[in-house]
Amino acid sequence: MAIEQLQFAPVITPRTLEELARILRERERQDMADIVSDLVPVVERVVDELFRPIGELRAEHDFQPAFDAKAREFAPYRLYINLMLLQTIDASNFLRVYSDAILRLTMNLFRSADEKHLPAERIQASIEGYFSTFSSLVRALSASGVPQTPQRLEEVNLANWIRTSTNLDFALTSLFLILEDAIKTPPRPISERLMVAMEESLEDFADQCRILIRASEERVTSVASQTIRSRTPELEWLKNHRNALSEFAGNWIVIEGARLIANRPSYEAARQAALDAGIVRPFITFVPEPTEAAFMGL
Amino acid sequence: MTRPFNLEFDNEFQYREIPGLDPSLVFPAVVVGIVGPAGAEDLLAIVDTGATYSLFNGKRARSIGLDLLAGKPIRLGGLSGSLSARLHRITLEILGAKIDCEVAFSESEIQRELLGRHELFPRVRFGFREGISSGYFHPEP
Repeated sequence: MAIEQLQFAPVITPRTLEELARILRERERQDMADIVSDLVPVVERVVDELFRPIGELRAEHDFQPAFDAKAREFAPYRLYINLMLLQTIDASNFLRVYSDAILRLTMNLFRSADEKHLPAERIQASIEGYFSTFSSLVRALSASGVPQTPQRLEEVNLANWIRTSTNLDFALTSLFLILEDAIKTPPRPISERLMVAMEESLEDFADQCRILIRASEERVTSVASQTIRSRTPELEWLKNHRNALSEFAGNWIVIEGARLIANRPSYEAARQAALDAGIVRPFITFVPEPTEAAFMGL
Repeated sequence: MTRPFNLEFDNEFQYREIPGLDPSLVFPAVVVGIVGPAGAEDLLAIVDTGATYSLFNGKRARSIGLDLLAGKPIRLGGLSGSLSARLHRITLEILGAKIDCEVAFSESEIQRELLGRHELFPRVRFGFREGISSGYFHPEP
């Protein structure tokens, strides 16, 4: 699978497609712009069948079953539309061109967010989260220089990856369509449920992407790391700072080489700091409160 | 009485201080790589010949691609009480050797992590010279 084909664009609405077509015309790619414009009626039908019912929901308890069912139906259309776009636009450029289109649109759309009781910042954060998560995934898998399918598919759970990204896209697209006045604005509790669905899906999607990235990096480094690192510099760091360790008591620390990378109260935060620092396989240790008591196992 | 004999070891390691424990004391501890289905990380573990299971903090499970609670539940007892843990099969990397074995991940916070006997000690050889604070490791029984 070429990595470029992973670049699923979020929020494909008639309006985002028109904006994309406009950008392509600006870049003197009339042929591509025409193909994108031809997709607009297809997307309009998808909006009618799958998204309009979300705008018409009135009872909060109807939200989840409707969301789950329509998001599931959305998956094959999403695949089809994205594949059509990828065939049209240079795949290596696709997500960047498309994110330009979305970000241009949001500036105008968000003007109506307040009157529709939609928090623009949260929507913006999720769009940025989607693009940055996807870009990290594409970058990591492209850099590996090896076939991009993960080593152990069943553990990576591609089905979950597709489901979470589809749910995220479905929630985001619904919110965009509300902002565009393409579908009705549902009552406030339903809009809030859409926001929560969007944010939870982003979290799940980012988790799945991290697993994919790690699986890939672990495979790439597994041969190189056959001589397992002794971690001598890290152990030296611990030895040299033994008298200062009490200031880290109760925290998790990440040491890489002779450097302290992170000192965090939770393991998860320390691990994330290591990943943010580009460390795929961190040395993480907990620093307990000092004790005079002799060690006797558990 | 048996005649004197020799045992070979591929690796020697120095005892070292353990964060949180009396810094004037050193322990037989080694850097251990824990490798799961989707990740790996390194930690410092005490070689504990009295421990039945190797035990790691359960928070590490997810980072290496394991669902902590999907593991077989087990109670582990010690001098200071007992704790719940889950058994998972992972690869341990110890001083250049890779050993697939079943280990325990705690369900609650633990202060220190241990290498114990279950499925590990039968496959490798540890030796100790307490008098000179040196440990020895060989990747075969």
